[in-house]
Amino acid sequence: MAPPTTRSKQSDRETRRAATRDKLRRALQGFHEAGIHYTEVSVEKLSAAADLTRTTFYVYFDDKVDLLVAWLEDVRAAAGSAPSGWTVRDRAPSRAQLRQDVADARYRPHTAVLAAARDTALFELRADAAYRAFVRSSIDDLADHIERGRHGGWIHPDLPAIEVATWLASIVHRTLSATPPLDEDAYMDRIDDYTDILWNTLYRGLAGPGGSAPGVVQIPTQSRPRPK
Amino acid sequence: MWTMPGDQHASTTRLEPPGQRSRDERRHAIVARLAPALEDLLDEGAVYSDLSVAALSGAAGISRSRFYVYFEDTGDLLRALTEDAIVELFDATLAWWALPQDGTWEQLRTVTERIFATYRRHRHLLRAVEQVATHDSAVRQYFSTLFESGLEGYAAELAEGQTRGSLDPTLESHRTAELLASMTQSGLYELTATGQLDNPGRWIDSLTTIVWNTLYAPTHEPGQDGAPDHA
Repeated sequence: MAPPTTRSKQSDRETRRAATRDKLRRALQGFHEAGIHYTEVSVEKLSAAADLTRTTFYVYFDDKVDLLVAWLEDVRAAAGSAPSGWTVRDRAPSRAQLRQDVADARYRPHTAVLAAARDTALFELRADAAYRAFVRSSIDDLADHIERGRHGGWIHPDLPAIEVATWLASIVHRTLSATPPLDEDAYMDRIDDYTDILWNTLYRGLAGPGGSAPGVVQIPTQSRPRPK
Repeated sequence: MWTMPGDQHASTTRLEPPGQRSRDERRHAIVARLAPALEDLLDEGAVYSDLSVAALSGAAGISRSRFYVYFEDTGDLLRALTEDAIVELFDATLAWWALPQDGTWEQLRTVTERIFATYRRHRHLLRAVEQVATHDSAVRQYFSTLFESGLEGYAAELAEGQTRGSLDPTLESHRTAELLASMTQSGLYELTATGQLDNPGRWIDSLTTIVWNTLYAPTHEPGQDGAPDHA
């Protein structure tokens, strides 16, 4: 085991690395809001915007991709690894519930990192792998939800789970990774549009205004408290 | 990025300086000669933004200085190279919103198939556009303008369908078209990147179902059109 002094030096370095990462992330946020892509910003420019020198940057990070992968881990930690909102339900949500759940997207505060990740993933294998794993987890959550619905009779049994989840997740991630970020009005409009597409695609045929199809379990429409 | 035929190059009515037309023709000829060679290079894994003017003019069989007679830079060349592909994709996608009132899931699937085939044919150039757009603001601006005008066309078509009663009247036409088009674009990009575009059957089915359920299912009674088998 390493002596205590070494360990505390180690953790000091970790703390400083995290602080540097946060400073750089605030700088990223500024570029993102101005409509500038991470792929267009040099290490020099990014560091300067964070009041750091290029040398300091390289003390803590190998390159921009290394930094980006660390940011993605931060986002994952902050947003939690549990599946989001309505996808954890074991039944069809009401339309209003669905809209609320979509609006509660946990990734919204992290759009600058998601935009940087998506752009960098177009060029860089390491970024591509990290971003792909990130998107994959939301595809899997939604695919599980569809599977449960198919078996539970509240999603059409022939709806292909993984494929539909892949397409649907791609719209969500595309919006989240827009540069510059959507303003509040445009964002709220998107929420309505997603709700339409998700509702029509997943539930409408069985839970829609026309009532349930013959031979299909009636969907309870009363809401219950959302699982925490 | 599928979009509509821009009017940037098509204005035959505009008065042009003498020699303009033949310059355009020469520009087109260079593009036509370069396209297959470039597709091969990209297919072998080259990244468009890494290709120099020297490499590109070499592949087109022209000198570096002649390159600049016809193109401002490599981004300008990319715009010229991808215009036809984008027009084709726009045409293919337009049919999504224009299914007749008694249209079926199968008819919609045929449209989706054509979108996939068109994308597949031009996948390398379309991928290059996505990449270059992240760091070249002129390219980004050009394609987002094209995409916007494409959306106008989609939205108009969708709204007409709503008036005819062939698709869900409650949808906001412009944004719904935009979301479905950009979903398709990201999804196809992803399928290309993971090599799944070579065997696309289930992806064509599932995308068709999403578009069907979103646009047409609400106005088509289940059990009458074959949709429930796939919905």
